Amino acid sequence: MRYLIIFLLLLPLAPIHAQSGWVKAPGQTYLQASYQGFVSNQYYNPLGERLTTETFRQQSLQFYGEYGLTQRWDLILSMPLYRFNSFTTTTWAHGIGDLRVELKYGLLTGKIPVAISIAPELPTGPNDNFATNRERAFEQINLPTGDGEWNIWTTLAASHSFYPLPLYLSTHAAFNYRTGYQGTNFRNQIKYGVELGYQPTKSIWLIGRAGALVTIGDPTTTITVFPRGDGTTYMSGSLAASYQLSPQWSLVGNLQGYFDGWHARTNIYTGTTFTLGFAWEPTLPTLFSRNQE
Amino acid sequence: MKQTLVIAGAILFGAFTSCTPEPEIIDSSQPQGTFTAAETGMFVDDNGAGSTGNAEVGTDEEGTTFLRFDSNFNTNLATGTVTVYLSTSPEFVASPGEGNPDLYLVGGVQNAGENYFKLDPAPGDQFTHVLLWCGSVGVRFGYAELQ
Repeated sequence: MRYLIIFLLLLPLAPIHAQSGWVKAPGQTYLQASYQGFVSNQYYNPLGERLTTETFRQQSLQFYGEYGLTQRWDLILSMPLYRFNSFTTTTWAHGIGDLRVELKYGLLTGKIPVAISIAPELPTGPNDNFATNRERAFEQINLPTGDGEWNIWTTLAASHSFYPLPLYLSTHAAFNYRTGYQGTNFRNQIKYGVELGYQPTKSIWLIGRAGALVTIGDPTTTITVFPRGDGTTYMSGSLAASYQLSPQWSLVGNLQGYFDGWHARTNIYTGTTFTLGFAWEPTLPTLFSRNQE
Repeated sequence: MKQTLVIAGAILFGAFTSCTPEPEIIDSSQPQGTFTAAETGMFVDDNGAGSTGNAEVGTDEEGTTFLRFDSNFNTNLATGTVTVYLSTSPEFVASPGEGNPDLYLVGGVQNAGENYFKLDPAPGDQFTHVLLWCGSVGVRFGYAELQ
């Protein structure tokens, strides 16, 4: 049985409050635009062996938007608006990313709210995108900004506020049903994690996260097409901060890294992902009245 | 009358075209006549690239040296171009300042299955291995020792 060479090019978005059991009130909106940068020459191959390679670089302009449709339903859209991929040895391959459309439903409210969401990811990004080697023009490498497939995330999340302490805890588990690309089937994934948020002052939130993404099953083919994220497993942690500039505007930042835990890293470039952006939280007109729920 | 002329023209056209010899196109990148292998080696996979098959170095009937990958050859070609080198060892040892004496650049491979690569000038005996190298990443996809 053979494994697959696939680099993880599709790094996760980093909204400041992600995967929680809370849903927004009707019309309540959270919009975030951010820059995300990643540089690494440390690659874990599909066998879990760590390699030092030429340096991989990725820069993205990300969008994340969450809107309260009703008392129970949220609509969440996210995608890399534009993404640049390269190695230090190549030119840049660039394009838009894949659009994720998520519908979130508040199953339980109260002290421990629970929400479930379903999120198809559309292959809106270029499926193939070649960068050219700077020294040998005949050498090209495929660094697409989308994974070329339809896949569907289903997420269950629960949260708890420790009010009056300025503290909350969230946890989530998700299943990614993957399809394939050009006749190759991708393996499904499980994702889980916890998030702890603390508000030291009225204008600042500090958030710590830890979690894992795990590929389940054995490879279905001897060789697959390149970078579609198949066979990727990792554990990660991140520190995020939000600084409120005005009642509706915040400055947000996030640092994410990877660590060795009970899941070994496979098929992934590891390093620190840096995110910096702005969040806007207006209350927009509601689309649905309450009796339509 | 018109019909007779058309038929006569068609006969003449057919006569001329059938008498014109087809130009023989010789693809000099491919062996002429039978290829005879002098050394052969089986690919060893690296980093889960799925490299398989055999590599052979030999000559055609005109004495030109070729590297041949057999019909079982495959590697992770969907990553883009995989570059083929002859090497003095299983390792990719680049020393561009000295003219890369340990490497002989063969070229890029883009298709699975049988491939021929013309080796001109013929490589020296010091090149004992075939490397499949993803140059943009700097990762070896496989190698074969020629024996």
